[in-house]
Amino acid sequence: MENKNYYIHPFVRITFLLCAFTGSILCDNVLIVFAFYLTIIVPLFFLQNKIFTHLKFLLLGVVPIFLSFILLNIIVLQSKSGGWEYIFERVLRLTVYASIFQIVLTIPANDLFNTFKKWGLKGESLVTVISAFAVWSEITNRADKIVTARLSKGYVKRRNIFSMAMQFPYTLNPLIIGVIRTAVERADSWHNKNILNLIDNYIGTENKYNLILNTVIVIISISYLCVILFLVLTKYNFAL
Amino acid sequence: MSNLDSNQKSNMLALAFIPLAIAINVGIGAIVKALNLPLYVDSIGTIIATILLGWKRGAIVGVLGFVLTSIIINPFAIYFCGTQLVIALLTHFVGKKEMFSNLFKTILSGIGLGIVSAIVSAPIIVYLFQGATGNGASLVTSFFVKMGNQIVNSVLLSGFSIEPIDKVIQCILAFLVIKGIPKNLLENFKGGSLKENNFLN
Repeated sequence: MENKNYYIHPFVRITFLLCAFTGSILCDNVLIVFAFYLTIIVPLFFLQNKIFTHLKFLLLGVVPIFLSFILLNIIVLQSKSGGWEYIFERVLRLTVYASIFQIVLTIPANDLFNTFKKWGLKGESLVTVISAFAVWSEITNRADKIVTARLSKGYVKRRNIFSMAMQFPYTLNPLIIGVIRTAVERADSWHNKNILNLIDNYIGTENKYNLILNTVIVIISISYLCVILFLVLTKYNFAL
Repeated sequence: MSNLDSNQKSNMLALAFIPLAIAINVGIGAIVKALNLPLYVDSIGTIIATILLGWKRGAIVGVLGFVLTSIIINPFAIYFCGTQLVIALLTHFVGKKEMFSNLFKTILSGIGLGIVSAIVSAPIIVYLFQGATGNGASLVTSFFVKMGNQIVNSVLLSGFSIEPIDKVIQCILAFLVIKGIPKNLLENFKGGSLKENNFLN
């Protein structure tokens, strides 16, 4: 369940993106970036109830990259292009940049409309983006139904990963034809309802954003960027 | 029906189809990522949408699809949004040149798309990931590095050996899927290259 108390305001999301991303790119001290990740990014995932999504990303996204860095740098190149320290820094930076985007774009379903509208989207672009975020489950359900139908008809003898992968071409055709049929029907319905006018005039349910949480995020984001800028400028002066 | 009404209906169809094509891109990409295959197969929605609706809408499918992938499945996908834009542009270009009119031409288009995708993705893979993208392609890159090539060359060679196969598979699947769509449904789509490739005859 999403906790409405921890909704992040659309403008706070943008502020966080700009400050956290710029700060992390400019920062040449990997420990500061790591501290920012542990103390700000991870708690934000907790607050948004998306920590399991983030852990899945760490497991399925970061671990394979970490392993391929080891393969390439330690095993193949024998640390010629950089050792463990280099690998940790690279992987950490990639993880932090991607996590910032993940936090900013992980928007609760009933805050999608408000967020995208406040980000300046309207008309066709607003409909496209909101539907893109909403239809994901529709497609997975449809694909599941096609595979279940093939299983029940006995087309799949064994349920292992390879036989399921072999179902891919057979799933694709009915899936896309079904999708096109749905799109044609939906287009007719949207045209008759004049959805573009409806959505532009729709005010939406105004969510109450937690003032303390959002203020804290803004203050931390701006402070982080200021500290990094100060460090970079100080270093530059020392170099002079 | 007036021209304006027809255009509005066509726009509405595009609006309804784009999110579904995005979901196809994301869904198929997720299956391939889960199987950890040295392929991507994450652009079928982009290719189909471009052939049906033109490059702009194809690019929206590709870019938004990768943004969505980066939220749901793999946050690193966001770095490759530019490649999707190029895929949409090139698919539209070769589509207008009737390069999806038969299976042989479709294979050639796939090879072309693969080579261009490899070139466009290479700078990101080299400078951001240092060749280690965490998928099957990294193994191929490691092999070329082991053979004595530099990272840049290895990433390009890896791309040239994987991307054309990947894009040929995707183009063939897109070709077969569009061929299998009933004509009365296809007639609703405008702006792409359906007529040039005889999908409507």
